[in-house]
Parts: sequence; C-alpha cells; structure tokens
Amino acid sequence: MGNSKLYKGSLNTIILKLLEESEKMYGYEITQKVKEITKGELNITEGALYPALHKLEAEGLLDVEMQKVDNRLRKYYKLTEKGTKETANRLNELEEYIRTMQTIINPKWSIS
Amino acid sequence: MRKLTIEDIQFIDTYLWNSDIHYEDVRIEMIDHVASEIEHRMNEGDTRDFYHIFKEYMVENKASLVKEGSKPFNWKIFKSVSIKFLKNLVTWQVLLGSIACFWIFNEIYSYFYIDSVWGSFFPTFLLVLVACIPFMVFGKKKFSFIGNFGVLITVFFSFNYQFIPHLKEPSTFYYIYLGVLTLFFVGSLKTMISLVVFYKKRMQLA
Repeated sequence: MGNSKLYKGSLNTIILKLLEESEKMYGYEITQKVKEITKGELNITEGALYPALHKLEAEGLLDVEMQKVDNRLRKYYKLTEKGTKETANRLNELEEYIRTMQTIINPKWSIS
Repeated sequence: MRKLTIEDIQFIDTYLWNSDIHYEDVRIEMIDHVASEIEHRMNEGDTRDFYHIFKEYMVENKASLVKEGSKPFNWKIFKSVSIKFLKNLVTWQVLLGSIACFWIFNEIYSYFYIDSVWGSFFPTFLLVLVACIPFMVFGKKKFSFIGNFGVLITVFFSFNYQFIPHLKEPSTFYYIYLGVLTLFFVGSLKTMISLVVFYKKRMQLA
C-alpha cells in the first residue's frame, strides 16, 4: 500500500504542498517529512523524488538555493511566485478529485 | 550528533561517479541524500562504522539512485532547455547579433567561394565554439541542463551537413540556409552563456 501507484500521480502536488508550508526544504528532508506525516505509510524513493523535483524546477515552479552543510553541498528547494499560484491550483484539483472519488466509492457521503 | 567526515563524503562522491552519475548538479544532490540517510541511521543508534552502513544502504537503494542519476539525456530537462532556447531566439540581442553575424558569415562564404570543404568546416567550427564555453569555465565538470542543451545543438549542426552539397552558389536557398544557421548559432551562444552563468552563480553561492 505504501508505494501504491495511486500516490504517484499526486507526488508533485505533495511536494508543492510541503514546500508551501516550509520556507525551503532539501530532498532528504522531504522524504522524511512525508514518512513522518503519513506515519511511514508513504515512502518516497530517490528514484521518484528527484525527477519530480527537477521537473518542477524545469517548469519554473521551484527555485534552488545551494548551501554548504556538514562537509557537503545541499540543494534547497523553495516555491517561486509561479509555484505558489500553481500549488493552490493543484491542491484544488486534488481536492476535487478526492471528492469525485468519494462520490463513486461511497455514494452515501455525497448525499449528506 | 554523528556527522560524516570529508573523507566519507569524498568516498560517496567517487562511488557515485564510478556508478555513471556524471552530472555534477545531480551528484551533489545524491551525495547529500546518501550522507543524510547514513547520518540518520548512525544517530538512530546504529553503531557500525560508515562503510558498513554505506554498503547496506547501497544494496537497498543503488538501483533506484543509478536509474535516474546516470541518464545522460533527460526528456524533461531537454524540453525545458529547448523552450528557453526558443525564447532566446526572439530577444533583441539574438536578432541584432544574427544580423551582424549574417553579414560576417556571408563575407566569409563569398571570400572563400563556398565549396564542400569550407562548407563542412563552418558548422563544425560554430558547434565547437559553443561547446567550448562550458569546458573553458568548468573543465571536466558536467551539468544536466548544459548536457541536454548540447544534445540539441549537436542534432541541429549535424542536420546542417545535409544541406551543404546544395550550397555551391548564392541562391535564395543559400541565403535562407545561412540565415537559419546564423540565428541558431547566435541563439545557442546566448543560451549556452546564460546556462554557464546560471551554474557558475549556483556553485559560487555554495
């Protein structure tokens, strides 16, 4: 369940949402934060996380800041202005999707 | 709090390089990821030395790391850098530079009475000129956006050789060819310089 394909389509939105709540985050921190919030239910692998981050960066939704930390370089990601707007759009889309799915899976919920 | 030493970090760096993760920007991020995880395990109570924990981590995750990190071509980055290049083509610097270069190139082509030898030489010369910029600034270090842009310019300049046999004398086609070649050259020069400045700034910030 933890790495279900269902989560994959939402990975970019999850990243954007986390960055919306923090000023800046680095890759490993994102994986740990997701693990913590979901109590280990969702485990984002390096192979999924970094391509997603690079895609968001290439689309201009994320900005990057480099810092030297503990004998190595660390790449921090933060939302750009465009990224902040896009986060709101994608969260709305995701909420809409969840509501639609609920009406299909559990019609009783949609009546109330 | 246990932290990895410079030697440990260097060991991870060398290991990832030997695993074909050659882009500097990609490797920097992976080194930090691997190091952070090892430090996390150490601080969670794993008392083994660095090499044992590193080995265990790599057994679990190497496939996932190398799968993404070792790709020399990445479609998403290629697309992004191509869009950047296309936007650059319509900037005033590129348009003005192209007009100036068109005149210069035309003079060169006329002077040498364009033949197949000079015709073959010219696009190659321009390609080498653009490709030399990152090499002069960063030496052997490679960066993902520059590498993927290199694919675009290599494809374009290789495509140019198809037209060289038809350029024996000045004609409408000849001027169109020279115009497109010039525009592409100046556009790729501007894009390459901006990518080099981008990475230079990013690395200096560190």
